[in-house]
Amino acid sequence: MPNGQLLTNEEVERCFQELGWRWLPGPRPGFWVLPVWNPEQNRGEMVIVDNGQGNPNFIGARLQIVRATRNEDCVRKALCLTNGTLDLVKLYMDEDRDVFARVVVPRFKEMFHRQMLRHALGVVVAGAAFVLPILQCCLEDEHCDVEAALSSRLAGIPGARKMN
Amino acid sequence: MPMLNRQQAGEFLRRIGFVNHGPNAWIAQQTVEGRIFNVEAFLKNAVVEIRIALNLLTRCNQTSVYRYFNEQNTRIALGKFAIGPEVDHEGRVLFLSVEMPAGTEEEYIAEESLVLLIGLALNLLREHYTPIERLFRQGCEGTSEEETRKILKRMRVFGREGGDHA
Repeated sequence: MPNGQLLTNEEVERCFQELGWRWLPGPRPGFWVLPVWNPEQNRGEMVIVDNGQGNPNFIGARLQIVRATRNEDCVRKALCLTNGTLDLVKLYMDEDRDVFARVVVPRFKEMFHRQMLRHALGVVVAGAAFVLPILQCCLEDEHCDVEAALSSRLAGIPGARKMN
Repeated sequence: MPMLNRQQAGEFLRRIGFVNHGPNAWIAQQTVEGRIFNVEAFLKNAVVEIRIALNLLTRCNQTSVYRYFNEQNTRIALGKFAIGPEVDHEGRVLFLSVEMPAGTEEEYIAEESLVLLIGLALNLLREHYTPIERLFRQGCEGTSEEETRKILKRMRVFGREGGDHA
């Protein structure tokens, strides 16, 4: 990583302001909660943004999607396939079986543009909304065909397939 | 150093050995672990992606591969291991992708970011290709009951035929 200057918490908040976003303070300094509208599910989501708390080189934006209470192998397969379908967003299941959508943005000033934050928040919410029905297939149906669930999801959203 | 616009980002890729192979798509080759890999760079509207196909085509359930991918995807900040779309009904390609959101058309990405993305992709490939290949070569797991029944039926038929010959 370069040895440049890192964005401070105040500068990150200024970016939120310039992007016209509202935010709530997070559990500790360097964390924020951003209410974002999810048009597909017609509800608000709370995206957690951190300034170098997960990795000092990056600003992270993440959204918890669901807790995988069963059929974890199916969930992992669903995440691998969806990660291969969607741009930019990364989907993963942590040790507590919580499934997240996550994007990171460089924190170094010379590598940063506030538009990156806008893209990051957009894909975190869109990625979470996209994968949710596929995950629900795993959680509700022991014999869920993940590939079929992904295909039907892609068929419902033109342009969702990753460029090859 | 100022941010590059999208065209300058393409020129930078060309300077370091990438060849343009489509609209906003660039390609180079790299040898890792004695194997040649295509390293693709995509300069898309909202995202810059470095993608390396692992040259492994999965045709069945490979639970241990999914576990490994998820474990690494949880651990690493930038980059993800993923399974691509089906290729001519032959299977799905395992690949590695390192992505970063782009800025605007005029302030698209920093040169350092491009260097970082390519370097990180190659490091992840060096670190993870061998364990992934090992898991991949273990073959299919979690066959469905139907598939298991078919295999058992074939074994019975084979057993009978073997008995006839005996």
